[in-house]
Amino acid sequence: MKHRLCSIYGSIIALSTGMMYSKIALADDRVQVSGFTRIVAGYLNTDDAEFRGYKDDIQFSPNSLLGLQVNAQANEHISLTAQGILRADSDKDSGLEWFYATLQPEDNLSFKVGKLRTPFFMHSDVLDVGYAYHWISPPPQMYNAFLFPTFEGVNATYGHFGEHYDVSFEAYLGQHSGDIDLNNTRTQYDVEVLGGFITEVKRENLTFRASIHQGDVDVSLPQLESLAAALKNYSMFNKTVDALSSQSQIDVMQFGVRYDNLNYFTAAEWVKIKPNQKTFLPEIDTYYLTGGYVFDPVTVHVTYAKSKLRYSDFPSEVSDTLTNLPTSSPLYPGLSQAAYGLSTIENSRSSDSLNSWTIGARWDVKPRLALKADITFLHGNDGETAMFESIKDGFDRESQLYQVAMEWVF
Amino acid sequence: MNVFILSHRQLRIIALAVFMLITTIPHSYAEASLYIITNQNSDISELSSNEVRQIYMGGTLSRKLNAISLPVDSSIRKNFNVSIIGLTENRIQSYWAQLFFTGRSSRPKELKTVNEVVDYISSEVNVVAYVPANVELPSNVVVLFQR
Repeated sequence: MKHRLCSIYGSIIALSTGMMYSKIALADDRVQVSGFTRIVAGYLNTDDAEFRGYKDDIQFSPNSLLGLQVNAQANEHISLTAQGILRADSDKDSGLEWFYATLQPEDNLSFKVGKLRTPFFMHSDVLDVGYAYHWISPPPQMYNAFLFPTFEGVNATYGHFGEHYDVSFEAYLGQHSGDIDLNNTRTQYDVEVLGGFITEVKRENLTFRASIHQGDVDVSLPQLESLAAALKNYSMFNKTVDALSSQSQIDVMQFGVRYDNLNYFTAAEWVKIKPNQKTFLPEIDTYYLTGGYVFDPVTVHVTYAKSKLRYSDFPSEVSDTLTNLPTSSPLYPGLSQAAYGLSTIENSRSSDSLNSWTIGARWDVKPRLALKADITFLHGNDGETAMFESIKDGFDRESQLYQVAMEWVF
Repeated sequence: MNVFILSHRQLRIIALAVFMLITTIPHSYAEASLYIITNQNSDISELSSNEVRQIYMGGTLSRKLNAISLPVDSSIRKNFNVSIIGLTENRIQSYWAQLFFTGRSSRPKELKTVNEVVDYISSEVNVVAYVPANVELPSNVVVLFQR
């Protein structure tokens, strides 16, 4: 990790020097090199658990990164953009996050084709650019949910403006394969079709954003697949076999609002994530409310965030059959093992409902450079995972996360 | 029992102080008046305050009309941010980072001086800029909005 951080800092120095030359070399404005970096240190005040990579020992790696973006304007209507990210955390993927061509046939219509960030929520496509938002980490209940951060496909945006408003309609369609953290395990997934529709309305300093998204996902979970295959042989537990299917359609609904002025801002966002297969993917309801006051150049802010997760239990047909079966039956050992397997799957699911309060301050030292400090008070329910990892016995699911950050765009 | 009672005179003074505080806050920002200008051959003849805001904040209209800005430390830019955008420079920069790194829009082009801005507008169409209202404008530059 240290080596990776060193390489990030080294890259920043090399880059800053390079930028001076690139500005001269690329004086024709057709190729633009820009970037952003964030160095985030965090500390969790308990040794009974870890939270999003933070523990009771100062950690830099979970959120520190360096991003570089190159834009090349081919002509009036076509441009190419590539954005690469180098993350300090070696468990997270570094590499090209965005790589797309933009076609703009009309002033109010544009298409992007290539590898794109999935625009689920208000800050989803700009999560890596900490300078663009006031927190150090946007509410994890929403922004760290089990979704697919990028996709390969096409995005179309149509804009319409009037004297007092500006509206944009955005639609995207694509596919993606990758891995996500599901029930604290790195899990392979394949989204065959992913699409969504986003409407954003701006009126003066007020912004509304509403969106719907849908994806057909196939998650690679060998324990589910082998159990389903075993139960299929009995030809009498079809409901359970269906409930063990690793394929699910996932629907996402989002609504957000933000108001900004010279002195203060306030924002709220609500999200529902609804898989149709809820035995291993949770249905999530989550929202946050946030507000801040600007003592320019310092902004102080407070946020309340909450999430509620729900799973479906497996049908009771296997355990019902087992109850009525004599132990001497030849079916008994196999079924009893299947029932055990089902209850193991139910017990291994993460129960990540979590409430949190965050208070923080952002100091805009100068344009494009900000320092931040946040304290997040985490409150989970006893007996649940509450987004914590490596939980020790006796941990009461209450902890505080302290973070400081430097955000820079160039 | 000690009861804190304000006389009518004290109340009047407090009310007056509050009134003055409220009414002077916006005025203290509005030092100079601004013109939003463009070339007379541009495809536009007037703009509302909100349309100017859309152009400078990467809205749909910014694809048709390109915005020109002055340097960050310019007092004219500060006046423009406060009186038309209604946000601090820092918040605008943060918003631009979001638009730029998600491929939605590019930051306004920056020129160093008001004279450079006027010359640029005089030679390019479909570009808008803010200048102080006391600047002398060439005959092919028109005012779209003033504050």
